[in-house]
Amino acid sequence: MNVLSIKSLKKSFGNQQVLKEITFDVLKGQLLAIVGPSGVGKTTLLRIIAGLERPDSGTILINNIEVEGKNFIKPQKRNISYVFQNAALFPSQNVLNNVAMVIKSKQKNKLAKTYLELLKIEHKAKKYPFELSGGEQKRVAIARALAAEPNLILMDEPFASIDESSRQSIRSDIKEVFKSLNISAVMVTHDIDEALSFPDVLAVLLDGTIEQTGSPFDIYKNPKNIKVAKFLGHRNFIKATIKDHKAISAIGEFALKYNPNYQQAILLIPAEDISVLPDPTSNIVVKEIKANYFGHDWLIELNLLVDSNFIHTIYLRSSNQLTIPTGTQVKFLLKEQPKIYEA
Amino acid sequence: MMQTITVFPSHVKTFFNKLWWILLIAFSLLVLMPLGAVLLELALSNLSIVKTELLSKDTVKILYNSIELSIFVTVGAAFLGIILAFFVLKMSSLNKFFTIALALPLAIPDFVMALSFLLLFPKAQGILPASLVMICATYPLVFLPVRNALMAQDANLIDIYKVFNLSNKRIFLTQLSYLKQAIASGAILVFLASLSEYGTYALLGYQTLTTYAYSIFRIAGAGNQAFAVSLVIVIVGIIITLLKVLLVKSQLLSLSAQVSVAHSHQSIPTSMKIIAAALLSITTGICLLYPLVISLINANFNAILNSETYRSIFYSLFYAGVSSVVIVIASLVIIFTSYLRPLRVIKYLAQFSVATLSIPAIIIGISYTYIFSHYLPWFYLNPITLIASYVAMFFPLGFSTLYSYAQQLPKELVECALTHKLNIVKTFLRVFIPEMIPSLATATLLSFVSIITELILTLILIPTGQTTLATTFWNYASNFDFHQAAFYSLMLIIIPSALFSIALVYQRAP
Repeated sequence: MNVLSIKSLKKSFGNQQVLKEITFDVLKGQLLAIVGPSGVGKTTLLRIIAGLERPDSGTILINNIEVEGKNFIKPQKRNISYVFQNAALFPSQNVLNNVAMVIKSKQKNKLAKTYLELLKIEHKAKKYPFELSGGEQKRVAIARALAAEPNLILMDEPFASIDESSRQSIRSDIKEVFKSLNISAVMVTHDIDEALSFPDVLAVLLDGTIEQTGSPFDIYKNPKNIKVAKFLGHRNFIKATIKDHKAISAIGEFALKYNPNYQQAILLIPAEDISVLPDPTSNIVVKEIKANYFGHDWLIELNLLVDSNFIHTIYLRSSNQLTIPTGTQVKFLLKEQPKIYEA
Repeated sequence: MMQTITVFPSHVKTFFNKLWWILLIAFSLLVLMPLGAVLLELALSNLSIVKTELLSKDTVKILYNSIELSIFVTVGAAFLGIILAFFVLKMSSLNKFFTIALALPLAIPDFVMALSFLLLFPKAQGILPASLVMICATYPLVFLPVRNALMAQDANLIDIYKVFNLSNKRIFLTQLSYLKQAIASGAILVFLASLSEYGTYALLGYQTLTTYAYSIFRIAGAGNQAFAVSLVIVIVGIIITLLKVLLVKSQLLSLSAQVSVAHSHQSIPTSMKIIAAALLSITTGICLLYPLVISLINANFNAILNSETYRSIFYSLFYAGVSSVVIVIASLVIIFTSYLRPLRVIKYLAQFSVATLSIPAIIIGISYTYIFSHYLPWFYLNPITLIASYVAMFFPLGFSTLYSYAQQLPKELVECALTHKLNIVKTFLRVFIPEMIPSLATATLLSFVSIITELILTLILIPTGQTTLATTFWNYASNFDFHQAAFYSLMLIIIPSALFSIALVYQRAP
């Protein structure tokens, strides 16, 4: 059953069309993340779903009830909860009251405590928002959103401004709670890691349109086009010629399982799928090496000379520091077949 | 174009829409009515009389007196306010104490200070004593904004000055250039306060436009002559207000609005510290403690047994209480509704309300007398008229205090309540009001203190048989019974100062 259905939603600010023909659905119990660069209209989309802003056209159904389109239903009647980027806790109320305030049952405080326990923040019940860390504020904001017992929770960058160590634990705690309560949620974010790790379904919003929808794994592994691939952080885009089940490029020839019906192609090789080895017979020479350490791995940038005059840059991820010196002749190995796009 | 958010359910929307417009129009009319009355009466009157009055030697001389005095007071108060603001922030200890003590003269009625002056120098008359009293009464209008601007400064700026090895004198002058907005705002308020003051000048025998207008009003009623003089006061006030608008628009004052200016407890020489402490103490002594002590010494405490005292206290508290509650509630509803229906008109109202501070009480008093005695006689000298006039006079103060605070609240709070299924009324009562409490207290106290110390409006419009602390004080003071008046001046120092101190101690940003 669809909890949220959006069809042909459009929104402009002045002459600038921010959202163009947005269409997607969210199923009961599904977590959807909409990822896109800053300023692409993610928050506007969320505010339109909440009823805080009006679109130029399009329809929105929440639980099969039209809330935007021919009818307009006010935010307070949509049966949703909105988690704002800054948490928006009521500063003059303590944590317990912040949650209890949105509960309609007579046992407000008891229920509020239950939600705080779910989000592992019950020990801060008597504290005021200014006494909480950013992560704690987000836990309270989500407890409050749950306490309103909505059909749908909307979250605007819910894990932004939280330190990395807290962020991971909050993310996994919230996901666990949402799954256990079978909650449907839409989250918007510009953070790729967050977008890949949190949701069941990911939608990539670029230039005002949803470019691709699918599981985070599928989207990362098989970006629909180069625009999506670049946004997801892929960097190795290599020109190639297709011939006889082979992709022939400046950095080597790679076997293909199928032969596309075009000759000029762009290969996408994820940095974690490529490795480099010395090869004295190769015409590829390492001219420059730049290594950036990220703790869990290295991102290595290799500037290559091909046939002494052509410079190509390849990025690769490695758990160890690269031992090859500059001037070495090298060849590349792929762990998986590259993704191919028509040039 | 961004569409307006309409978050009201239809029936509530209609109700709130109507309420909002009614309140907005009613309070704008209330505030604008005095100006309208001046223009209306002048339009209907014999222009030759008005022209004769406006161009008479007396009016020109009195206009010159008023402007000369206002300039003296403005320059003196600005100089004192700036120096005190710099010095008070150099005090590592007693900073808070001196800040409150130096701001308190704002709560003491000017005419009470004038009486204190007279008790020590019974023959003091003219521009010098009038200027000294007014400087003492109004320097906090410069001191407070300059201090706040200095407090808001990025402390790193001071470090940068040090890195470039600037002298203390150079740092002071550099900072001063960043404080133009705060100084100009404060100085303009001082000028307007000085222009509209009545009691001090009447007690110290210095004739200005306000004393002249009041004497004409007492002799000839709310007629052509009084309105002609009122028009002069209005024109001067508007010119001063426009001057500030022009300065801001021409970017001459914009630098300080954008650049926050630094303060720090930067080390200053011991000799300078002694001078700072001495100046702060002397100012506190002269402008706060002296009126208190002299009133205490001279007060006739037998008045405490007098039923007139109880009636004065009752009516003072009653009028100040009712009027300030009306001001605060109306302001809150207008501001909350504007959250839900963001319209430009509310911004204009906020800006406009500051400009209306330039309408002196004498004009409101004369205009209301004219309007109510001519068109609504059954309301003339009625408690409702007095309350309406207080609201007209002090609504801009209460509204702008609440509005500037509300501007700092995150807009998401109201949106958050609505997207968590709270209805409009619950959002107003359980989210908006609790978040506004600090400014609500400040706005109520400021309005209350301003009303309780108001003199000229009360003298003109108080219902027959009623009396307030200010009018009782004035009755005794104008009959030269200074000892009896001193008792009431003591009350007029203690009550407002205590309330104003509370407002200062508890004021905070959201």
